[in-house]
Amino acid sequence: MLRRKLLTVLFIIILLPILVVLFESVTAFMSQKKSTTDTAGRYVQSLADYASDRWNDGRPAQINTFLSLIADYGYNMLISGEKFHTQSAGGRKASARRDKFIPGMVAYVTSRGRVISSSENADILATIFTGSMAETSGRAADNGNIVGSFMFGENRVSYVAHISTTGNRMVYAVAAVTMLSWMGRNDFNMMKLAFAGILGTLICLVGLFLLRGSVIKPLRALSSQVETIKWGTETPKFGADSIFDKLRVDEISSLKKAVTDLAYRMIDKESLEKRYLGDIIKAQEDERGRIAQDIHDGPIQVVSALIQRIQMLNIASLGIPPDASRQLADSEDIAQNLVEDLRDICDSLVPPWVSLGLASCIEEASGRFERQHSITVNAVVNQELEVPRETTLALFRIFQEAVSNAVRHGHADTVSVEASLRGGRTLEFVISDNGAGFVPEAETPDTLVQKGQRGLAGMRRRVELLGGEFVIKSAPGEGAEITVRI
Amino acid sequence: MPVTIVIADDHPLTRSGLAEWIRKNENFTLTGEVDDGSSAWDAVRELRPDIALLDIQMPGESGISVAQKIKDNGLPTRVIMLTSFNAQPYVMASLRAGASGFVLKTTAVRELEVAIKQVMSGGFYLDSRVAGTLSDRQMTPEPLSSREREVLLVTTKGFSIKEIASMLCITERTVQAHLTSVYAKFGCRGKSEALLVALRHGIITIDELLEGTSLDGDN
Repeated sequence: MLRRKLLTVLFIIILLPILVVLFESVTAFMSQKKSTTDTAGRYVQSLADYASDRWNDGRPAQINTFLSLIADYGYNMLISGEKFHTQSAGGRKASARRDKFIPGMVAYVTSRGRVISSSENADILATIFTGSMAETSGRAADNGNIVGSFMFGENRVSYVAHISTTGNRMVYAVAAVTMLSWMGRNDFNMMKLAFAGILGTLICLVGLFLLRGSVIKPLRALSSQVETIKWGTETPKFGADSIFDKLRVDEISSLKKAVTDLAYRMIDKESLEKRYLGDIIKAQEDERGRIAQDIHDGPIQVVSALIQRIQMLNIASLGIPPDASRQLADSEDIAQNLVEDLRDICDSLVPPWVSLGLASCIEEASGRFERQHSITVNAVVNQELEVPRETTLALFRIFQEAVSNAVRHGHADTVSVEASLRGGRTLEFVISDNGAGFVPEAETPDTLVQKGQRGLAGMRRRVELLGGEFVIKSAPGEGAEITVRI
Repeated sequence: MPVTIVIADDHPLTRSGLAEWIRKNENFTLTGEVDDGSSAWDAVRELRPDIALLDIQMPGESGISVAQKIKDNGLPTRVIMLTSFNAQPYVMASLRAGASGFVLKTTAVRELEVAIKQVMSGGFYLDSRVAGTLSDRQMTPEPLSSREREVLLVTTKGFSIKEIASMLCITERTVQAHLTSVYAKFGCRGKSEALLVALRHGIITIDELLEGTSLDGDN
């Protein structure tokens, strides 16, 4: 369950801290900005109140001195075209001026918005004053401060301003400070922060997506292949290569390669084993065939010729005394028995009737098994079935083994055998008996051999070599049924 | 006029023995003696003997295949298979290939004269020893009832007991009982032996045996 959701879990684990940091920094930025604005607000309020007091003193020289001490260096620098090239260079110039001036700007403005007198570059305050008077509410922030901004060229200049009344109700003292002067170049905006946050998140997502494509998905594919593959017969299929194959982690590539190599090696091993077993069975049959042929062509012919000579002697030579004639007849009997014995040996090595086709082979074998084991064998084989000699031989061996098992272990007295063509192409060969039956425990040849069911293992191997299917059905008390499909 | 004979056998010892026996018999003339299948076919085609004695297993071409050629070409030569095998499938294969007789090499000297006479008179000859234990029972077996004979005939055509029962409209148990009775009368075990006994004693004829499954029509 967890494994299936691995990707989601990973995603959350990675994304959560990023979001927390993002949220924290936004909050910190906001509160810092607010407190800065508040401080600036208190400062411009005092500045405006001080300017108002000086107006009320009614000493123009004092007012002029006061105004000459005031300068908003940040705004001034914008006007004079100076730039904050570096923090140090700008900072040094700025600090030299800061020693000399009170930061900000102050202007005495009539109620109609005309500037009576002002500090350097403070004409802008008339506009702020007019704008503020025009609006009854809205831009005035807490404490009567005005927080706003105006465009200077491409630059947006933020400021905090305050308007104080004087003794003359026609004259107002207006003071302001730009955030550029108040905070220096630290006046970066929210947009950048938000952009950085979104960018960070996106990078994270892309990273996770790549992680999914290059690690998690290949790992899943690999694991499902390893779980479902039939070792020894299949190679893993990893599907069409996707774009991620170029990004794939080396470890996964080598893991895939290792699994594929392993699968090929299993197939090699399996086929080697099959070939080896096939060779053994073939060598065994070849050897049996050769011995049978040698006996047939040698001893049997020689003894047959001997019998012919004895018979000719006994028939043709009329003058043989009865005693000698009887001796000759006995000799012939002995020789006849010898030929029978030799034929039996040949037949048990490789039944010669295997080459007469499946039907004849099974019928003859059935007759022989009936005599040999004193059982009834019902054989139904279509005469028209055309089966290669090696298949006939294999089926005969399986039949032989099955009958032997049925009689020896199952104490069966009836065995049925049936061969037919199923679906036009499949040869079905079924042997069943009425014996005691058994529990067919093991399915693979190896375990069959371990369980001492070597005969069954041999049958299965023979069928496998012919590329067929071998099924045993049996239960105690219900006999046994062996089905071969080729 | 003596019967002309060609003998084909790749084993010199058995061939020369039989050849000698044939030459000594004034009723027969040995016109050809060959040691493989294709020479056998050439000899029969050129010499047109009355009888061809063919070994089943020969290099190149088997005796059964030569017999088939003789039959297919409509030659008048009658074929007697001469073999070391005494298995029933060989008898059946030989009969299908058109052979008129089946004689074992080990009994040939004693039985060949009878066999040739029987075959020449248009009959069929099956070696007395072919079915193993049968050698001891030369006497004619007890006759079969017509039902027993019918069951035996159908059995030898490769039908199962179940099929026979449905064909003859009797129970499987009855079929089995008939067969048991046949085996008892013949003193044999199994249908292969019973078939050979029946053939040898003319209880079932070759024509009947080789006829298609004529009983299909009755169904």
